[in-house]
Amino acid sequence: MKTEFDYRRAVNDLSFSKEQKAEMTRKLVEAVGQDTTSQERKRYIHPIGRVAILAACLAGALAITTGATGVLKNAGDAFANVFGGGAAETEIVNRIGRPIGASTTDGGLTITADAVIGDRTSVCVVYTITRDDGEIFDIQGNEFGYLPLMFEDGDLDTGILGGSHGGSYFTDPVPGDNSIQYVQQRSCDVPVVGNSAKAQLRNLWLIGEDGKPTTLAEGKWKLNFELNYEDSSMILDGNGKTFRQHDMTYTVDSIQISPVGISVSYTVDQELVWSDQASGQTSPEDAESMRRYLENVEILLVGIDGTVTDLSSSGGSISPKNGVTECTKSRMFDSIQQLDHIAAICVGGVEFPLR
Amino acid sequence: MNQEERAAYLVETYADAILRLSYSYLKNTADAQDICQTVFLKLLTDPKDFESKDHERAWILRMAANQCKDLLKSHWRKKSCGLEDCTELAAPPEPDSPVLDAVNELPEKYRVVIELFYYEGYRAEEIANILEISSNTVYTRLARARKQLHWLLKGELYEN
Repeated sequence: MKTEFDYRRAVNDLSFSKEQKAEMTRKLVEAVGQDTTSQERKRYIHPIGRVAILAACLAGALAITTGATGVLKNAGDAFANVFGGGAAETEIVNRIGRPIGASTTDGGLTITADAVIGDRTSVCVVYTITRDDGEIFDIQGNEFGYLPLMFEDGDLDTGILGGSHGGSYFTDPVPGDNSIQYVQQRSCDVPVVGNSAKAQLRNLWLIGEDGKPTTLAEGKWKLNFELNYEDSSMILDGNGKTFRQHDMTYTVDSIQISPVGISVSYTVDQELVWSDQASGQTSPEDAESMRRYLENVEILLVGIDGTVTDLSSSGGSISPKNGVTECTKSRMFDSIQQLDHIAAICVGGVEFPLR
Repeated sequence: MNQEERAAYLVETYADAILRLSYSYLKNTADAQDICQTVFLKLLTDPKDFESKDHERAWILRMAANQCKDLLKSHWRKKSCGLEDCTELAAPPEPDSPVLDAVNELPEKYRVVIELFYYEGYRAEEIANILEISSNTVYTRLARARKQLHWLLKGELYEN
């Protein structure tokens, strides 16, 4: 195959000389700096040759850049408004979260994926949305601080083959400036940590008091990043423990808990049969089934100080198969949980001590 | 491995592969060289753990591919920056080859799969992973690329 040989030979000529590689290495080390432990290492101090000029030109256009100030936000700062908490919680976020720093600009907005955190099956990403014209976002939040905004398409592809649920919201941690915050959370049926994620956002809408949207910014923003946070999930075996309700037996298969979320998997001894409903509204029968198989399963978090947090209103999945129904209820916490402050998790009244 | 050793390892191991892949996208070695430097700088400032050398190579090539795609879409790349005088590192010369010229006539998405398949030696499934597309798409692009090359090279045909 002469042509294939010719192609390989031609491409083989496309290479750096030894001198060029040595010079490139020298420039890289100079750019990064010699201190391998310092946070400053992440700062783009000495751009290399033409890259410096191009980087200035392309700031905001390349998918992987540092944020607007040229410094990556650490996870603790990025998630401060999401999870709150004190020094101990911030230390956990800094340990398991990861900065991203990917930016893209379109339609007069620059969107930066600041940081990511999660566990084996859940992920939370926080973004900064900045107006390129420097004007403030003059939008009032509700009593919980959420802004009436949404993306026409706000997809977060976590690279899984499976189902997921979650939500997103907008806040304005520093009112009166030209930036707001966007948070996406996803809990998945299958492991997600370590995957490559793609956020694809399109057209930012303002939701009026009448519930109708108007376009605030027209654009498409695509960001790629790795779900490379530390997975500090603890898995508790169900040990065959069961509880009964609705004349059915629920066997707890496993409980996964981390500082950022919880996922409970259980199997019900009857196979749910969905009604033969055309697409559209859920039938009353199916709504009742969802209550029996999923929503009415109580999940409580019991602290070592005796406090009880009700996590029963978690989303999840229902999979009828082979005469039984496999279910998962999962969610991300509103605040960081210190696992050594948790005594037990109760599912359907059955206690599972953490230690 | 300290930073200098890490930088030397990355350059020695991957610089040429990134250059070749980036050249497939960008069709000029100066831009391809910039992609090299950007990818390495990212890896040095935000290290990642890899399961294996294969995982590392595929991840690095994927990052380079994504960087190339963003550069192609960049408004600034379309303008003339007049940076040739400013370049501190001379870019490698572009090969003089009728076959490479023919490949460069192909659309970017075909050039890239040709390079990864025929030069890097990746299987279609591995190419699909690097480029984040389906295996079927890889096969389709290879088939169409070969067909176009057949006409461009007037009778010389790539075989499966």
